[in-house]
Formats: sequence, structure tokens, C-alpha cells
Amino acid sequence: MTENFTPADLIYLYLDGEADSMQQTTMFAALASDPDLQQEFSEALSMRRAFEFERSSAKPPLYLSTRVFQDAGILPKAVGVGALGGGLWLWLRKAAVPVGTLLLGSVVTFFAMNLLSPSRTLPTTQRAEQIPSASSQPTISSSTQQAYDQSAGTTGSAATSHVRSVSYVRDRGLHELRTSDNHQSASSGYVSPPSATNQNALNVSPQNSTENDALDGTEGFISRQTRIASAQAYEANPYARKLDMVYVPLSNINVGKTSDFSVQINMAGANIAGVVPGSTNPSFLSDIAGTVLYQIDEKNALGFGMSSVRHNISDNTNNGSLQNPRLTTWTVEYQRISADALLLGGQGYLSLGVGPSWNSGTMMGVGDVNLGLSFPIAFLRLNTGFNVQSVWYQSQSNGLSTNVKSSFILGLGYNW
Amino acid sequence: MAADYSTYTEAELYALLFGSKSEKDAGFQEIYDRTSSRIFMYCRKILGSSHAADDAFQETYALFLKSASPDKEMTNLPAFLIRIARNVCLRMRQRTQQHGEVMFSEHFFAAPAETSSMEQAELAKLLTMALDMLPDDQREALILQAYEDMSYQEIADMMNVPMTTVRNWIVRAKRKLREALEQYWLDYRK
Repeated sequence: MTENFTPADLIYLYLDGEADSMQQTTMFAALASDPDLQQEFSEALSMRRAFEFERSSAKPPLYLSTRVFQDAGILPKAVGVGALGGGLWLWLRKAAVPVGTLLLGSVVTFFAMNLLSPSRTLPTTQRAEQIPSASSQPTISSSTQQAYDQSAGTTGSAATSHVRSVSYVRDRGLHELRTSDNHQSASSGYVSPPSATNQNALNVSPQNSTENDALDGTEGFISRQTRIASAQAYEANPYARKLDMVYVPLSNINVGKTSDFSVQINMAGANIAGVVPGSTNPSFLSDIAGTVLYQIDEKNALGFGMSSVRHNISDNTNNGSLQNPRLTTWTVEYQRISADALLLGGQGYLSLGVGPSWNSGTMMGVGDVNLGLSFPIAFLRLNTGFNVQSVWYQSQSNGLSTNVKSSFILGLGYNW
Repeated sequence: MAADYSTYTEAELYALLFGSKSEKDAGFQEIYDRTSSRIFMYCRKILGSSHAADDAFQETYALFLKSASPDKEMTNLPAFLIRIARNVCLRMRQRTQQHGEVMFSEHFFAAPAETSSMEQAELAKLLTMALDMLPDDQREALILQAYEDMSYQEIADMMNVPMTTVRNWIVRAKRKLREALEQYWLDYRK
């Protein structure tokens, strides 16, 4: 058979242990006098070592071995109460990516919100224009406070509660006092004073300020300095002003509701499958999601969303066949934001959604994580960030299966 | 004292599959330990797609257990399992082609072991990618020889072709791979 092979061919037969003695003699004779052939021998040897190297390092992953042993009846199936042995491990593995992403997102958001936020202290001259000086600052004395409580008909612990409520209104009212004498324009929670006397008593003279400061720290009472600091913080926060959010440190008051609804429309942009391990299927601006949120307070919003996302799944279920399905999903959404989380003029947000989806007769579970920044532009909000969506479904052959998709997002929001 | 199944012959292990539940489990685990790496490698190299290869791998062992019979004489377990895996992979490939789909090209790359050189790991990756350029017959013959360590005769028996054909396929395939990696060799020499 030697006549059918060139000396170069014989190199491969020899290295595979398939060359007979005559072929070996022919090959070695050619090798001795041909540098190119020597080079090819060296390269063929490198290839053989690479094959051996890969052969020795190949090992089925644990999740796959788990599946095989479940099929063999050695491990329990990943459903039912008795599935904790193999099933829990399998589930944990599949949940690792979305949970890991969530944790990573939380850490990034924390740093963005707390460490990278630029100082919002206004220049002294600007501050002087916006914040009344100590001498002209409206203050309240303890006697006036008591008089007010008595006139409002509150005593004891109820009085304390009432004082706290009124103090909150006054904090916010600092800004309104400058443009209007009408205290009743303050937001909900304000109790109208019973008489003009008491109304005037709220704007007390500066000479009472020392007395007022002495009471600072008393439960339910907020001093002039604290209110000035609070007002400065409010004035210094353009985002809070634009959204008309009450920006008062929570250490001073307990309530900060804004009653804002917002609508967000986001498009999924460039795929970032390389960033999130396990995520697949690049698609450019092919996915869309809409969210309606009710802002419970400065930091929390709750609502629902609808998304249409294509997933890279090719599998059979008990009810049908999934071939790169586009999944329409309804989700319950929770969004975590922070009024003082400013980064490059934007507001960091982290939203989580969970909901069902149907495709080809198959019910699927969908988990959604969004992390990004929202920038106020006029009456709109520009949303950027990234989205990770996980889908869980019951595969005919693999049992509980998952697919993860990650994308950059770009979208618009509207607040009213 | 627990039996040391690692000393059992393949025929003895196969016979355990028809014993008690504990014997069957122990026998299957030992068979799996001895063969899973090769079957796994075969499925990944033939199908490329990690999802499809995982399915084929799982189905291979399910079919192996289903087809087990006390009347069967088992002398070469790896070859028997690769034959099952081959049938499963061929069926999956046909099904994919019938649907007009292109297999998702997601190659499996083995993680480099600590003792292995970076060059070997890099070359192994390049070879895996270059495999796609080969005709199906040449590719399969090469995978069985290079990754499964089967002899030309065993491959000929499995693929049901003359050994001379297998020899030609493998030699041609390896020379093509080498040519495809020409740039790598040039860089390597530098």
C-alpha cells in the first residue's frame, strides 16, 4: 500500500501506529534529507499531543452526570419532595447565573449610589440666594409649638404624633413660605391651624431661635438648624426638585411619599452574552419591554410590566416544540431607587420582575433583572442599563431547564 | 467489605446490571466512570452544539440501559457505547438538517489542566474549530481516531467501510488540519 501514500502521508500513519515496517523505512529515509518534511513531522507531532491533551482533560460536567444518574434511577428526579439529592443541586446550578447577576448588580448599584455620587453642595453665593439667613429664617419656639398643639386639640402621645406631622409639613413649607403665605398649599398631612393667630405664630421672630435650638433632640421636635439643613439638601438636589420629590433625610421624618406614576418603554439593545456567563442569542433592538410603576416612596416603586423577548431555545416539551421562541411575558415589577443616588445627573435603579409566559402550549416561568441609570430630560426620563432575563421550562428530555439572555437596554420613561 | 469494582472486567460489570438494585447501581456507576469522558468527547465533537451534545450524551446511556440484556456478551463496552452514541448523533444531525436549521456553533473547549502547556491548550482549540472544515466522513473518522483512540480497523468496523478508506480519510483530514493552521505554525516558529 506504500505506493498510495506520499512520505508526508506516512508521517500521520506512523504517528497513529498504523504504518508497517516498510512504510516506516520509506518515511525515515525521506525525513533525513527533507527539511520541509521534518517541519511537517514536528507539526504533526504537536497536533497529536494536542489531541491527547484534550482527550485527557475531557470530563462530562456534573449537571450532565446528574441527569444520567437520574435517568438510571440512581439519583431521584428533579421533581417532587424526594428530589433534594440531585434535584436541588441541579436547580442551584441553573439559578446560579441569574442570582449571581443580581448580586453583582446590587454591588455595582451600591457603589454607584454611595461612593461615586458627586457632592451636591451648592456654591456659597448660590446657597445664600436660596436659603434664608439665620436672622430671617422662620423659626418656632417651644411655647408656640405647645400653643399650636393645644389649639389643634392634641395632648400627650397624640400631641407628639401631631407635632411630628406638622414638622414634616413645615420642612417642606420652608420653600413655599418664600413665595406664598398660604400654608394650606402644603402637601397632604398638613392640618390647618384653627386661627389666624396660630397661623402667624408659625412665623415666629428670630429672637426665639435660641430657645428653639435648645429643644433640638426632643422627640417629635425639629429645630431650626435641622430644618435649614434639610432645606439645603432639598435645594441642592436638582433631581428631587425636578420630580417634585420631598427630599428630607429620613432620620428627620418618617414619611416621604410622592404618589408618582411612571411609564417606561425600554428596547433591548446590543447583546452582552460575553458579559453574563451562560447567556446566549445576540439580537439588536429586537426585544421590547414596557413597565407601569407606582412610586410608593422615594426609594420603592411597584407595578407591572410586559415584555416581548426572543430566546435561544431549541427543545421539546411535553406540550410542544420550542424553536427560538419569542416570549411575551407579564411580570410583577418591583423597582428600587434612591432619591439621593445621583451619578452623572442620573438616578440608579434596580428592578426585579417575575411572571409567567406561554409559548407553543408550554407554560414558562420568567425572571427579569434590570440595572441601570435613569436621566431626567425635560419631562421624560432616558433609561440605560442592562437586562438579564431567565426562562424556566420543563424539557421533555432534560427536565427543568433554563435559558438566560442578557442585553443592553435603552428606553424612555414619563412621569406624571 | 465493599467490592472494588474498579478491578472488574467489562463483562463482569455488564453482568452486574442484572443483579440487585445496589449491584446494578454500582455496576452502572463504574461503567459510567470508565466511559463517560470518551462518550462526552465524541458527542461534543460530532454535534458541536453543547445542548444537542448533552442530549445525545444523556440519551446514549439511557439507551444503553434500555438495551441491556443478560443474553448479550459484552467484551468492549466503550465501543458498544460509542456505537450507540453514533446512532443517536446521526439521528439528531439528520433531524436538524431536515428542519433546515444550522447547528448552533458553540464549540466545546476543554479547560487546560494545570500541568498542560498553554500552547497545547491553544492548539487544541484551533484544531476543534478547524474540524468544522472537514467533510463529515473524514471528520468522524478523525474524531474516533484522535479523540477516542480507536484503531483504524475499529473505525472501519464501526463506520462499515473498508480500512483503506478509513486510512485515506484520516490522513487527508490531518493534512487538511495542518494546512488550515498554517498561520499558527508560522507564529509558533517565531
